[in-house]
Amino acid sequence: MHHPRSAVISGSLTALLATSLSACGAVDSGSAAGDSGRCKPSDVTLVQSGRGLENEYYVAVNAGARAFAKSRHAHRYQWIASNGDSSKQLSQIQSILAKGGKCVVLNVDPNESSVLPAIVKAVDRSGAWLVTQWNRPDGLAPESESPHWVAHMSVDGVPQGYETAKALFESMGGKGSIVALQGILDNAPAQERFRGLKKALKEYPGIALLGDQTAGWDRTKAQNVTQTYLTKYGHKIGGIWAASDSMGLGALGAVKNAGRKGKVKIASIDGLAEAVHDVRDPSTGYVATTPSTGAAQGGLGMSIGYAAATGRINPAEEPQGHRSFYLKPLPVITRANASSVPSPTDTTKLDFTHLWSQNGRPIK
Amino acid sequence: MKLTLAPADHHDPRATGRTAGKTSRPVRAVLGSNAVPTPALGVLALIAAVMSFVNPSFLSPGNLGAVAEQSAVPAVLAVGLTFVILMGGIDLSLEGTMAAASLTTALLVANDRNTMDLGLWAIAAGCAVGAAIGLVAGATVGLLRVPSFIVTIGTWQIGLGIAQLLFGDTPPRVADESFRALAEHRTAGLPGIVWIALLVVAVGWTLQRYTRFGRYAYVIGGSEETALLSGVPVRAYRAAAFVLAGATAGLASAMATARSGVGDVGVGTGLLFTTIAGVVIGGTLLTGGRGGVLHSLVGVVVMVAIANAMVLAGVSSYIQQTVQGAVVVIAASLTLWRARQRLRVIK
Repeated sequence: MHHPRSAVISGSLTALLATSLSACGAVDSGSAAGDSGRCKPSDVTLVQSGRGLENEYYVAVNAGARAFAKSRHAHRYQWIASNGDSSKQLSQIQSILAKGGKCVVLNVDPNESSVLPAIVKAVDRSGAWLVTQWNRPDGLAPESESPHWVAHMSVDGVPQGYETAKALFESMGGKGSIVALQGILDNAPAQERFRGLKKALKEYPGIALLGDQTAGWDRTKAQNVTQTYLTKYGHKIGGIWAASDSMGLGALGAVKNAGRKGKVKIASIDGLAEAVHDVRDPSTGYVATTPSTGAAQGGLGMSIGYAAATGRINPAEEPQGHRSFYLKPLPVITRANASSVPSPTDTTKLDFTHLWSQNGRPIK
Repeated sequence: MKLTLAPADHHDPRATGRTAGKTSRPVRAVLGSNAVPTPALGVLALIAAVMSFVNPSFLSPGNLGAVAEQSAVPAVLAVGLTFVILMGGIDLSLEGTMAAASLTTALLVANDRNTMDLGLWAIAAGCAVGAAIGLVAGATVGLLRVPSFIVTIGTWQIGLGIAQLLFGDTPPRVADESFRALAEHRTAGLPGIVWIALLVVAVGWTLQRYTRFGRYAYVIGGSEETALLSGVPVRAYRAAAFVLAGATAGLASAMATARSGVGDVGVGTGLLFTTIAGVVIGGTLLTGGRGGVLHSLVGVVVMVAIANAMVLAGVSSYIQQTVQGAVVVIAASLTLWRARQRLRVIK
């Protein structure tokens, strides 16, 4: 068995390498392929990688992963922040692998899909265990690449977009006009969520989509775009659908400043504490959001990787639906249930023993 | 080129009268000279002219108010940045500075995280945080002679780091209604933040025109050597410009925080592009020595107006970014045409 190579090439070069590797699909199965893990629980190092804790979603992810670490009495838990920098994320992971070797469990939200092949390769060579979230390049999947890439999980944006849109349309009495704020356009969740909205629009012929714009997941930009929409369409706008809560909250700011708070209904996705708070308050006109998936992605991702590292599961023998899957869609948050929604960082409901209890449909 | 610029001059009074009232005085005073951002005003007039066919609601009072409101934050940023750029430097730190100032401000007014309630004094605290970060950059650039480009990338990270420390688990929500009212309450049809921005521009213009600081900024940017040989304390003025840029970034951040109602690490996202592009389109040279506060104001309004016009025109999101980029390139080429010729003569 090789020792992990600790040579950390300069960041940008590795990112370049990552891109070219993904082009060839050349992530070879490493020397440790086929082994199931034999790590003692006390040897395992748990590592959670995401953008940064200035973002509520990652605070929830960190809480979930940390809760799992605590439940296993694992002392070595580490949160690493990529701060939106792919090469930084890769070199962080490489140096952790260099130290920890085979008993590292990584739950990674790749900064962008193009950095993933390099991460998978690094993990595979050192014999560590990897679970990934959200983004992966087309054609790259755990079941075909490496047993050390234990699983890839994501959240299906279609039902989220569909259910929030339906709640919005119902609050408008099934008729009227809306505008939509999209996320970053080449981003898979943004596209799925918008597809969900379109599906709902087909079922509600009384609702017209006046226009859609990207606000790049950004609150201020959403406020500006909504303000402009309100001057463009005026009182025609009865509802606003936003692909994320931060944009929905920006839209609410614009609606409020235009003196139309409560008259324009708003629905969005993500379950930010502030959005849930607004859904509870009928005067805001905020009608729906979705529960946060951060804690589940952190905790379940960690527990799946840990199960592989300690030999409880052998990834190579798990069915496809356990290797690439969407989390089970959760019911949307509306005024009816908003007061009973747990905080996004509440980890008491997470079940770490039933690894696949939250699996929804497989990702093809 | 004078010929193509002539119609732009023609449009000036109309454009200034409607969207950039502050510029009308110097336009009358020194028409056609470099002191007036004539080409940028032409671009603005061109956007207005095109939009009057595509969607006349662009020129409705409601929409002009929206453009003014959306311009307020980048305009304040641009005032501080202008002095740095006039001296031939650059300040890339504003998104980080804004992040630190936003969290500071939100945590010092009445909020849902602690029991602080400084009211509007929190704005001064936000400015102070910005000025402090600016001082770090200014001292490093001025005293240690490190290029501002790299120093301010560093202070950007410092600002982000401070903001992340202050963030905790959830963004602090502003509960202080008098603070929120700065963005929500309207005086003479425009929200408070627009009046603050106009005040800042007026102060900036006065600084630029009537103080030693402003005059020396041009001298330093034009030729630092000459300035040094003439006994201008270049380092001190340079450092002062960064402190000013930091303070305006702090103020802009407080305004943005009042508008969104939360302390947000991402409060400045995208504003670096809007502001620098605005400053350049306005006609302030990145090499220093030419331009000014009013130029930057007009440039920023052009940037905001482009984004606004595209939504009104219903341009598809998928091509919007490209259109915006193209308009920036064209607008910058137009505004810098005269400068380009001058540069050629100089070099």
